[in-house]
Amino acid sequence: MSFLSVTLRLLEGFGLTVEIFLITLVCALPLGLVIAFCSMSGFRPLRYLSKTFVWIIRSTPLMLQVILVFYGPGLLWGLDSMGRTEAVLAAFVINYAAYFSEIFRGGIESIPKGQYEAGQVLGMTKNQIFFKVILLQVVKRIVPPLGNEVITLVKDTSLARVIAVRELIWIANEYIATYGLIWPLFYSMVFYLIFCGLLTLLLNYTERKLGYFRV
Amino acid sequence: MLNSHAPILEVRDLKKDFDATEVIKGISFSLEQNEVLSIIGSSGSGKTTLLRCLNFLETPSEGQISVKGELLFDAADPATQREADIRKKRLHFGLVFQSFNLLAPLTALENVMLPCYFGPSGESRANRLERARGALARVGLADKAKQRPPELSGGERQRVAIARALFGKPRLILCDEPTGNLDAKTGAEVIGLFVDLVREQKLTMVVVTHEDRVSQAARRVLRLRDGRLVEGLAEMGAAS
Repeated sequence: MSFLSVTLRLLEGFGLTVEIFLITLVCALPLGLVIAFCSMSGFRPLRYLSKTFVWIIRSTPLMLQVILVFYGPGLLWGLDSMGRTEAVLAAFVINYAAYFSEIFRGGIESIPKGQYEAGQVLGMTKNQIFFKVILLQVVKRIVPPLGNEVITLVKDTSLARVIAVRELIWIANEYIATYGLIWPLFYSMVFYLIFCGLLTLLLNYTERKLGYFRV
Repeated sequence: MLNSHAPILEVRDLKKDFDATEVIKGISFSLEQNEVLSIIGSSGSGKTTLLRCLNFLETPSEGQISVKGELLFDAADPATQREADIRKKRLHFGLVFQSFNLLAPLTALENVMLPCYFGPSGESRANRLERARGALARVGLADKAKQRPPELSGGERQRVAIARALFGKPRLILCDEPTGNLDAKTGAEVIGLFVDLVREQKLTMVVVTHEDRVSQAARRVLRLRDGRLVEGLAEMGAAS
């Protein structure tokens, strides 16, 4: 079992890991913003619904959510199961959107009321105030907590293996099951380390670029 | 319709309540062009709420507000309370906040120019830039145009806020405790700036304050207690 062939096989799994990561991020960020708005809505039923959703998602393990999304429709309603990767993506997007929504809500609510009023007295509309005044300041404040979640997401992708999705850890684990080799599993850590390292650099750069207006 | 003989600001029987608590209990006054009116009173007397009602940051529960004879707000007439109209009506007033409320992502110059981005303006960009630089220079901050608010001191931030309020050429400047967040020395400098601006530019201004030095610069003083006018329209030493 050569080092090169293991590396190439692990790279296959890593490709799926990155795919799950990117699709989750791209879908969960805007969905999280929508949920955050619902959680801050003046319409009480919508606010309660949103908060209940966030409570359920944050209070149950992601692993169980993945299993539920994959097996639930078949067990509960006799429907055909969706694809394994699709089920993982759906569960991850829902889970991370809930976490992101709380970060967005905290960021938006932390902006001083005076910033909204400054926009109001200048004759700005609500949309102008949000997009031209508030959002940039929110982004600055939420980059560190959001960065934490993004790094956690990279590692959480390994939970996809509970429904046999062939991501990085699954592939590494196959070497134990098939050949009794454990080093590919430890070797897989290097992929996570490099990927998270690059993300950390990117997040630090973003923080520095936004650092010009500390509020 | 604007009426050149009407007072620049006329407030009739203004009331404001928050749920069951009545904060402003029926206040009427008027203000002529080039007058400086100081509203004084202890904490909780309703002076800031009154100022916020004048600029529609709070919606009055009852009463009317007119500028130059034009009825801007009538609590009994929902047609005067449409949000799109209220946004335009706010442009009659320049507001200086106690906490400055500059927009943090923008430079001092961009903050000063904000009123022309959102208000009506047929002015060229070059003119606006020149005027904004002039406004910053007038408040002593010509060299701080590219600094962002977090890089400025409290006094400098308030000066930018004053320049911004003047830049939009409002009919009336409203100031809410303009020295409330400043130390004594910086506060005195800002008051000095106000006094100079009142003299130079014949400003019409309403200042909410508990600072004697500010109220002494006003021609008229309204004293509020518990949401009511208890001593009004006293003639003070004129600044102009």
